[in-house]
This record gives sequence, C-alpha cells and structure tokens, in this order.
Amino acid sequence: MIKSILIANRGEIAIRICRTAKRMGIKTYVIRTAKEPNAVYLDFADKVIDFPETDGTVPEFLDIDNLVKLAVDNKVQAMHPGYGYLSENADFAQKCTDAGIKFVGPPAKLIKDMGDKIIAKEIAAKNGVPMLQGSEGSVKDVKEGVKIAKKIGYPVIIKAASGGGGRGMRIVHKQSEMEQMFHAASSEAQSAFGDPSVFIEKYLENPKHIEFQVVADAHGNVVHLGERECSVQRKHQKLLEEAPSSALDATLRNKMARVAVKLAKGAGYESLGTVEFLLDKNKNFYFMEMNTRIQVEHPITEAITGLDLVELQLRIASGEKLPIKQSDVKLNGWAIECRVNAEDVQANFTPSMGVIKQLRLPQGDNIRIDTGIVPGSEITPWFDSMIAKLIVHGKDRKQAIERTLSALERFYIKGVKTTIPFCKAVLHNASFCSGDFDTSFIETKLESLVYREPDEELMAALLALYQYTHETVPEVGPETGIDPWVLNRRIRNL
Amino acid sequence: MTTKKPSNTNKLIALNSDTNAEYEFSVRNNYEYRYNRCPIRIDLVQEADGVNVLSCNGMRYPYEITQQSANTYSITLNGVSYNFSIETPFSLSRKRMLAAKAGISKKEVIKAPMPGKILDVFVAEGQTVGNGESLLVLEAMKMQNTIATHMKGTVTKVTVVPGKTVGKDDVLIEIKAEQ
Repeated sequence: MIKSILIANRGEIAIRICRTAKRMGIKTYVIRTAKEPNAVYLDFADKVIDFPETDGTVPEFLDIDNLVKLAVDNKVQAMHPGYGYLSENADFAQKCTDAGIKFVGPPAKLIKDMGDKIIAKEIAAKNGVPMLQGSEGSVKDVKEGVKIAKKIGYPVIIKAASGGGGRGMRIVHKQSEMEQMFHAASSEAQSAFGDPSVFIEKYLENPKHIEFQVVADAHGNVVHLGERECSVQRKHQKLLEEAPSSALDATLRNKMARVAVKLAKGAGYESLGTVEFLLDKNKNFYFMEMNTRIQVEHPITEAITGLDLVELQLRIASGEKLPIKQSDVKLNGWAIECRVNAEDVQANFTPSMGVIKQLRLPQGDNIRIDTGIVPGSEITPWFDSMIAKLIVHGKDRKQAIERTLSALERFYIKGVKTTIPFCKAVLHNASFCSGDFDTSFIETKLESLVYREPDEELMAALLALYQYTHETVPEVGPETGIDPWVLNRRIRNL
Repeated sequence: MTTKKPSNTNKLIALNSDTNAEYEFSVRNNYEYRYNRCPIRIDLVQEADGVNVLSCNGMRYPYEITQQSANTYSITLNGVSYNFSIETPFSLSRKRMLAAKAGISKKEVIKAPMPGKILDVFVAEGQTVGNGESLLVLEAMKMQNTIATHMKGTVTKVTVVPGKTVGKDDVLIEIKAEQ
C-alpha cells in the first residue's frame, strides 16, 4: 500500500482526498500557495508544503515540473491530481512515473488517448460503443467541414480534439454559419488547449447526458458503479446531478453498463473512469467521451453504492486487486448533488467575488456537504467558482428531491451570491420532477432561473420600505427624554 | 377643546427597478404598514451567528442590504437580489413621465456582462444591424461569448477594438433604434 501522497489540488477535493487517505493510514501532503495561504484545505493534511516562488506565469497547480520536484524532494510516494488542473494531463502522469512517483489515475498513454477526442472515438468504436456520425479524424478547413455537414445533415457540432469542459465547441445549424463557427471553435481550442484541431459530429438536439462510473484494477478486473444523470447544464457546465437516472430502466442500464465495461476492458483501462453518453428521445445512446479522473459529482455514486471511490483509486494505485465484484455492487435509493457556485445567477451566472461573511450549513443523516470554505474565506478570481457541493440521499427520487429542497432552505451563505436559488428552481420545476428533461432544460423548461417563495418579492419591498421609513426618523436616545412622535402629536394638537 | 385625531398616513410605493412591479403601502406613523388594506408586520432580527433574518407571517428569510443610496435599496433576500426604490405617488408619476419621454429616442447600450478580453468586433459605427445580429466576441474565463443585439437599429458608438481588456459593465457598443 502507498504510504504517502501529495495532493496536487486545493479546495473541497483536497479535503475529500485527505479524509480517505487519513482513514487508510496514508500520510497526506498538500501545497500552500501565495494566493490563499490560509485556505481551509491546509488544515486537513498531515504536512503542508509551501509552493516555491516562481515568475507566476504558470499557475501553481498547473506547474508540472515544480509539483513533481516537490513530491521528489519530500519523498512522497504517490501523486493525486484531484479533478481539473493536471488530472487529465498525460505529460504530468508521465513525469510523475519517470520520477518514480505513482500517479493516481490511469497510465499516461491512456490519458493521452482518451484526451484526444479523435483517438478516443476510434478506441470506442473499435470496442463496439455506438457512435454518432461525423468526420473521420480532424477537419482541416471550412470547405471540408461543409462537405461533411452536407453528408451527415445539419445541425452539426464542431468540437476541439483536445477539448473538454465545453470549450472549443460550436453548434452549426446551417451552412452559412459554418465559416464563423469553424473559426470560433478552432481559435478557442487554440487558446484553451494549445491545439487548434477540431472534428465534426452530428449534433444531437437536446439529448440527455448520462455517464457511467467504471473502476478497473491493474489485473484486468473492471466493475461499473451505475450511472449518473447530468442533464441540468448550462453552456456544457454541469450544475445539478443525480444518480441513478430516471430515464433508464434495468434493461437499458445493463446494456449501457456492458458497453462501458467493454470499452474499459478493451482499452486496458486502469483506475477510476467515467464513460459519458448522449441519450436521445428514442433511448438510443452514443459515445461522447471518457474522463480519466475522479469527477466532481462522484459523491452521488458513493451515496447510492456505499463505496468510497477515492479509496478504490488509492488501492488500485497501490497495485491491489479490486476489493469488489460486480455482484457486490448494489444501487440503493437516490442521490442528488447541487453545485453551490459563487455566481450571480440573475446576472447570467457571472462569478461573484467577495468574502464569506457567514455560512449556515444544513445538517442531517442524509446530507453530505463537501466544501473548502469557512466564514472569512475569500472568493477570488484565481480559482473555480464552485465553493461547495450538497449531496442528499433518499430512498427514491421523490424523497431525494424533497430532502434536497429542505436542505437548500437551511443552506445560507452571506457575502457572495450563489447558485442555491437556482438549484431550488430546478427542484421545484414540474418537468424536472417528472423526469421529462434534457440538456435544453434551462433554456426551455425553467421559467425563472431563481426560485422565490410566493410572497418573497413583497417581503423585499417591505424591507426596502422599512429601511426608508426608519432612516428618516431620528434615533431616540434615553437622554432626549421625549419621544419625537409624542412631541409631534402635541404640536399638532396645540 | 376638540380632539382631532392626527392623520399621519402616507402612501408609499416600492418600485422594483428591474421589473417595474409596484407595491403600494399605506404607512402610518412611519412604522405601521398596510398592504391591500391588511396590516403587515415585519421583524428584523440578528441571530446568534450574525445572520440577519426577516420574519413576517411566520416565514423567515435571511437578508442582506447590499447597497443603499437616497431612496434606492439593493437587497438580497433568501439568496435572490432585488432593487427597489421607494416613491411617493408624486415622485412615481414624475418618474413615469420621464421614462415615457426617454422612450421616444430608444437606444440599446451593450455592456460587458463580465470582465474579459475583446477578441473580435463585427460592426462599425454607422452600420445598421438586425435583431439578434452578432456584434462582438468577448473572451472571459477562457470561454468565447458572442454578444448580440436585441434590437434593429444603427450602431452609434463602438468603444472597443479587438485585444482590449474590459471590466464588467463597461460600455462596448451603443445602438440607436430604428424609428
């Protein structure tokens, strides 16, 4: 078993990893950066390493050479990248391996292959995963794009080969838009990933986003842990997830799971991975991509399976066999995750910066909150806007929704605006509750982006009125003796 | 001596500046409020952990007054923002009159929805644009956002060039509506 890990990440996920590692007796190292020297995650590790001073051009958690050097200098055995940052960077995984540090994740070659959307599609197709029609390999120019689109029919989607997180993606509805969209996707891909190559695929209008969690050890054993539905998204950013999905029955679940497992096996996958699918109205599913890291939304799978995914990651990284067989995996009840982002939903989800002045977290047996903030924490533009995750478990979907709503009502953050009122709006929405929703949900089904209690606006009006009327009244101190109202009345009655 | 009851009742209107929704209250002695003829009472309490809570009709909402100047208030109630101004019947009618006047020469001011960098500007001053036409591309948080107009008209002002960094709410482009 690994004896020590360096966590090349921050915030809630660093804390999350520390918790499991500690329980397993693994010594944890985290990195202190000058941008948040008093961050909460630092308190959860056994050892805190100061990041060396650099010229600042490369953010700390993207600085491959310095991170590897810190691990070597501190004689740490393994590197956990968390999610985001370098978690899907093949170079980082390779440099860790070269330096004799175990990278917690799949081998570099697999990260590279799955990170290149074109190669990933080839691997998936070879292993029998249903695919959407599209270009074979990258598309070199607009002319070729037009030709392919003509063949497969509009709308089509242009995607960055090295993309992810919704960047470098453009939908083209008709030929006249092709030129602008092609250049936009390509230049965004260049600036975000340093690679301008793009490919074209048939665009599935309003699919559901369903992903399967798979876990594979180095000995060829692969197990799936069911699915998650992540259809509530805005600009391809997930905002609220649930497990399982109401769109799948047992037959379809088994079919999709078999495909996901077959892909992982065929690719020689190792560690935790997520196979993402698009599901259309007729319940046809297509390969989207495979993520080679732990996902933000992993806690909902933990809630319904009772497993600790970070523990599985660390065991696999230590060379152990999977401690579970497929028949051991039982999906129990329903779980929902709300992402609490420091964003102003009413101003088009713009980041909301500031200091957390107060924090009220709901508590209860079925509630889990993963967060890296406390009162006094500063929300800066340096880092991701996600500041907390609320995960609620129930016996079925209805109960999970009710419990999540009740938890959200008790969840309060003062100092920045958050997506809490948005999550409430989703959970109160009839289409969401009936399960009849897809990735167009926010644009088509949600009348208001924020939930308001029936007379909430009146209360706000009243509050403004209260302020107004009380400001214009002089304060009455005990030494003045006479109430100005009494005085006023007396004068009027003279 | 005749005892005449003092009449100290005012009409005040809370105007939602974003939606123009009006809430008319009658206010007596500055602290007794009536809405739709029903007395309404609110209590503002600071709880032990420092959270301000408004309680009314058995409901409790955490609140924060984020900004106030003269008769305007920015309020966050239950995590949702509201902007209200408190008006007298006279000031409200004056406001409406001014708004109606301003409406004649309608224009749209395109502001940066978030801080970022201008990558591309598609229009020039004097150009006519249609509803929904793309004006420029703003890159923020590594995402490219195409900003479009919501009305048909003529571009009267372009204040940015590709490569310029802009702050939130910076004016980018102004458009005058077609008469």
